[in-house]
Amino acid sequence: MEHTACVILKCREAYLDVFDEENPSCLKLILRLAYEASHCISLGYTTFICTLGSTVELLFAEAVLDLKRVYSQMPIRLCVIRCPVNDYLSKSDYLSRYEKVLIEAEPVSISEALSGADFIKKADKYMREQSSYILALNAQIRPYIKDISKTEAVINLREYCPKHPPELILIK
Amino acid sequence: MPMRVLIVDDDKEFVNLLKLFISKDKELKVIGEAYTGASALEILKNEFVDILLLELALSDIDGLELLKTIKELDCIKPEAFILSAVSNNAIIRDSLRLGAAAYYVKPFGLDKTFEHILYYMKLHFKKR
Repeated sequence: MEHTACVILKCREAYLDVFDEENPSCLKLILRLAYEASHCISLGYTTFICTLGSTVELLFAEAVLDLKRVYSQMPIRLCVIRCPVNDYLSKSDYLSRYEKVLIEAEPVSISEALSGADFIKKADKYMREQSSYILALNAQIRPYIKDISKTEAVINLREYCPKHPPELILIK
Repeated sequence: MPMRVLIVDDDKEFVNLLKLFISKDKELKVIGEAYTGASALEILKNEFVDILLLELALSDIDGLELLKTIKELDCIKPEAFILSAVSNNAIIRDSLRLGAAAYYVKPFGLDKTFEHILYYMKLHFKKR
């Protein structure tokens, strides 16, 4: 847990189909994810856990695998929890990349496999428990932090998603 | 006169490795190093740079944004060579569209990479 970071994708349903590499915002997100993964490694995190069911998660997993090749002298591990893929990810060009990630990553299976939203909840809970660094990909700035014993960084996906422009959020 | 090199990468160890390697080459001279996009821009505004060695995943301005901004700067533009861990095809395509001379995916051999960079620069300067 000490050296483990995870990625939690919030508002999953809103971002299932909006990331497309023809879009400049998506390219910005890819570089942001690469930077965040690299930053985690510089802080001493060598194990990364994420679910793998959406395009955003695929982009993060690829960023970690790129860094694993660069820092080959470090014991960098990518652990993925396989979950049902969304329609966008199942397009052929993404699907081959998805399968490549599955070959290079270590599979994590959660006992008592559930389906749908329950599965995602269970996976998120598992990843939080296993990690001391949480990278939350969210649709809005969170006004609170759940667990102060863990480091939590938040990427606001609305910045990278033209179909869902930023909204004014008032935090009291 | 040696070609003036600016290194932009937030990995200090990698920057030091590049500096050490370049210091052995009489045709190149490192005139600056930057760990963020903003500090790279500051150097580019104040110094003449022939070769920009750029990692795209930076903490503030990302490398693609930096390439766009450099295009708009009122100065002689450096030749940008991307040295990045990011292997995503769309990112490589866009970097080249934005004017990068070449893209090298880390990890790479320094000897071959710099041989290629110098070859490119010599061809480029002949054309000038």
